[in-house]
Formats: sequence, structure tokens, C-alpha cells
Amino acid sequence: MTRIRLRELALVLALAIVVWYFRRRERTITASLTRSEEWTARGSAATATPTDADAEGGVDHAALSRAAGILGASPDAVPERVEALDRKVRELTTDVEKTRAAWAKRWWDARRRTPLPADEPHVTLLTIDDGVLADAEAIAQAALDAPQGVTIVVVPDDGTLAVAVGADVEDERADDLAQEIASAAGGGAGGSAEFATGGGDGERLLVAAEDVRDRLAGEGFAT
Amino acid sequence: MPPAGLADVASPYELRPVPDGAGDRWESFVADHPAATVFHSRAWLAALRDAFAYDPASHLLYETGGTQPVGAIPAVSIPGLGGRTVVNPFCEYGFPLLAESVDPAPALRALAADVGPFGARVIKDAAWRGPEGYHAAGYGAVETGEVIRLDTDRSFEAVRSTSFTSEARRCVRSARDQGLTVRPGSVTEYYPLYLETMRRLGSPQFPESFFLDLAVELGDDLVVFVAEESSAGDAIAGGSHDSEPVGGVLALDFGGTRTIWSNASRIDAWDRHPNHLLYASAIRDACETDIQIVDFGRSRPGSGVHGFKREFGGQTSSLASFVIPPHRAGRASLAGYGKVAAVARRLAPAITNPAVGPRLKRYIHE
Repeated sequence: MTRIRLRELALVLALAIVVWYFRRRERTITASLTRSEEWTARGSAATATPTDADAEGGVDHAALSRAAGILGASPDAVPERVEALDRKVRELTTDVEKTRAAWAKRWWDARRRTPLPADEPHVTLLTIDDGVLADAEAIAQAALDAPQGVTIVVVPDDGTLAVAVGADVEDERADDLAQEIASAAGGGAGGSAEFATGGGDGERLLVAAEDVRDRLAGEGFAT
Repeated sequence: MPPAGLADVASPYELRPVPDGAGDRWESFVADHPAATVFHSRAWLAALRDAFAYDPASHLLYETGGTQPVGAIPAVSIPGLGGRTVVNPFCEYGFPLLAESVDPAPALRALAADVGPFGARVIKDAAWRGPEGYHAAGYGAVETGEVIRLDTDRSFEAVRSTSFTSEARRCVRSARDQGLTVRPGSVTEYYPLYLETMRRLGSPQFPESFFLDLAVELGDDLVVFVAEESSAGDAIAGGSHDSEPVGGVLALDFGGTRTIWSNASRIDAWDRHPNHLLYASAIRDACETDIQIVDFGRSRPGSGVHGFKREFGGQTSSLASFVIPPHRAGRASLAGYGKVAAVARRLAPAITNPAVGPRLKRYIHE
């Protein structure tokens, strides 16, 4: 009887060991194959193009070292420095935009010292020397406070323009006017009924803008 | 036996053994391969053979029936309790060098065929190389740490100012201010420092004969730097040989890469930062010669050694050992060594006994 019990106990013990072994083996296989698969994926990403950088490998050491040299930082510090520079650029961009908006408002206010007709449609053509599209946009935005006004701002040196059409102006859309001017200058334009921007040959833009202004004047817009 | 479904598919590749890990064909193939490391070199394999008497298991890979090798796989066969393990021991890289035309998966499958019923093949690879084909060939993987590689194809001043952290620069300056200098040394000068460090860590040591064999095989490509107290000026300036060394590094140069393979220092000198000065000196020397990359070797992320190495900049890259069959992946795991470290320190006198340590080392092929 005791011998039978001992034999049963030994069999149960052996069975338990076998189960434990195969479960452990299965866990090891699953874990190691999963890691192997992850490495294959990383390897493919790293070798996709010779200059692609990967989180773990395939790093373009020369490019990273050059970037570190430019930044005056260690390669490890490059991500942090780039992030800091990006943050700084965003802050400075915001500052420039605020400054430009303030400048445009003052510029427009100064322009309005010559009274504009408040109760009838009027058209204004402005040119900016040494400016960029962002300057034209800022002034056109400021001009939107004239509900009866059509304002065309051209930057010949930059080959760009912005058009603002007041909310009370009937039968004219900013995007149509901008497209009319830009097309005549060999370029293109887009936007909404009230605000649009475009570009083309600088000199021809100015001539085309003058033609549109004259056309509107002929249609009853004050200048 | 090949896996089910592959039994009737002839392998496009065949392995041919290279008994001594040497031969002109091996040497020529390795010399021409852009990813070859010192651990693929004839010198490394010959030193392993001479010092440990391992059974050679390096192979050249051929297209079936071909006459020109298209791959080289460095390895030795190491006996163990559960069966033999085929691996390139004591190093970070044992990956096969394959010609561009070779499809990695079938080549790796061919390697899996010769491990025997209780054997396992362990292939050490690194993320910087973009490993391919292991999963498709049925290998499991065990992550074993990280390696840091520093671009030294530029002036030392550029490396120091752009790659070193301010802490590393401060420690190097402090070491010099406290009178440490670094000079080229020899294996016989380095070995006592190494042995002292192994005793402190309770880790079995390499026999000195292995270092000497490496020095013979590699010649000028085995570089030792020794830090010592001196009133003389700059590093690597030929300081006084009467001073007692307080630290050293042993580096292996191959194909434009310097691998810092071993580093040792006296604990009572740590407040003078000899290891910082040694690393900086090895890097400076690399910048001033034709070494393009200094490889700091493997370390475990989060460890003090890893933090130390990161102070010198460079690119971090993961390391893994790929194992076939995958259920024997535990043979490549380093986790067990960390678990026994505390106990090993207590047993250090026995473990590092000259009669015991080198024999144990033969079976610890991390």
C-alpha cells in the first residue's frame, strides 16, 4: 500500500515537473521570439535609407555630430537643444506677429487720417516697399474694419498681394479680386469673400492692381 | 532536423568549418567586410583557441556548391551542463559577416542546423548594424545591454567641447590638477590592475595568458593606457615609469574602430578620476590617429558604468543575443550574473583564486 502511494506521489511529482518545464519553455519561446521580431522591425527601419535615424540604431553619426557641432552641444544633448531652439523660434515668431499687427494697425490708422467715405463704397490701393506678404496681410486685416472698403495691398518686391473687402461691400469678393489681379500678373490667388492673398510678377501685380482699382472707381467706388 | 515544412527545401547555402578560425580565405573575407570587428579577426579567434582550448566552431558560408565564401561566422563551441553552446565569447559582436548578395534568413537557418540535440547557437548583434533575418530564421532574442560608440573622425578639441559633458570635462581637468598622467603601457602592467578589480567585484578573471596571446596576435593594435601619479604635464606624454599605476584601459583597434575592451582602476584613486582621464586619453589618441570610432563596449542601462560612459558622448545602441533554438534563450541572458553579484563578492577570494578563476571563466561566456 505504502509502495503504491509512494509510486503515485512520484508520478504526480514528475508530472508537475514536466508541466512546469513546458510552461517555462513556452514562456521563454514567446518572450524571445517577440523580442526577435521587435529587433527585426527596428533593423528594417534602420536600414530603410542610409540617412534615416532610428531610436535605437541606424543613426547617422556624422550628421548628428555636425548638428552637435553647430549647436555647441554633445550629441546626447542635441534633442534637448533642438527642442529649446524650436520653443525659442515659436516665441520669437509670436513676438514678430504681434509687433507686425501693431505696426499695421498704426499704419492703417495713420492712413485713415485722410478721411474715407464712411457711407459709400471706396477702394484703396497701397504699396509696401521692402516688405513681405505677412506685412501686406497685416495691413489688409487692419483694413477690414472699414465695412464699405475694398483694400488692395501690393508688395512689388516680394511679388505678393493681399485683398480685404469690407462686410458691407456688395457684389465684390476678395478672392475674386485677388485672382483677377494675380492672373493678370501670371500668378494665382485664393482666400475668402472678405480676405484673400496671392502672388505673381511684382511689377505686373502693381499694374494689374491699378487696373482693378480704376475699374472699381468706374463702377462707383470712391478712391 | 530542419523545421517541419522545410525538410524538402534545399538550403541555398552551406557551411564549411574553419578549424583554427584562421586561413587566408577567412582573413581576406573579414578584412574586406565593412562591418567586421576585432572580434571577427583571426587574431581574436586564435587567442581564444590558445588560451581556453575551446573547440573551434567558426565557419565560412558558401552558396551551395560554390567556391567563393559569401559569409564568415566567428564562434567556438563551449561545453555546459545542459549541452554545448556555440558562441563568440567575451565580446559584444559575434554576428555573421555576410556578402551583400546573401539573403540573411536562409543563411541564419543554415547556421541553426549544426547545434546538435542539446546545443544552442548564440549570435551577438547590435542595433547600430541593423540586424536582419533572425526572426524569420526562428531565432529568439535576449537583450543584453547597450553599447556607446563615439565618432572620433574629428579633432579632439571638437570631441571634447561638443561630446563630453561638463562633468566629464571637469573630472578630466581635476585628474590632471591632482597630478595624474596617462602613458602607453603594456599588458603586464595592466594585468595586476585588472586582477585587483576582478577581486573587488568577485568576478572570475581571464588568465594573463589570454591577454598576452591577444597582445602577440594583435601587435600594435592592442593598446594599453596606464594612469599614474606624476608631476609631469599632459596625458600620453611618457611620464615616469617609477610611479605606481592607479588605472588602465585595454583597447583593441581594428578597421578604424577602437574598442575599449577592459578597464580597471584602484578604488583608492577614484577621487582623482583616473578612469575619466584614461577614457579621455584613449579618445584623444584615437582622434590623433586613423581611428574613426571609439566603441566603449557593453554596459547595462541605469548602471554606474553606463552613466560613466555616457559622459563622453557618442551614440547609444542596443545589444542583443539571438538564440536558436529559442527555448534556450536563457543561455544568453546576463540577468543571472547580476543576481549572484552580491554573493560572488563575498566569495571573491575563492572565485578569483588563480587556480579557480580562469577555469570558471572558460564556462562564463557572457
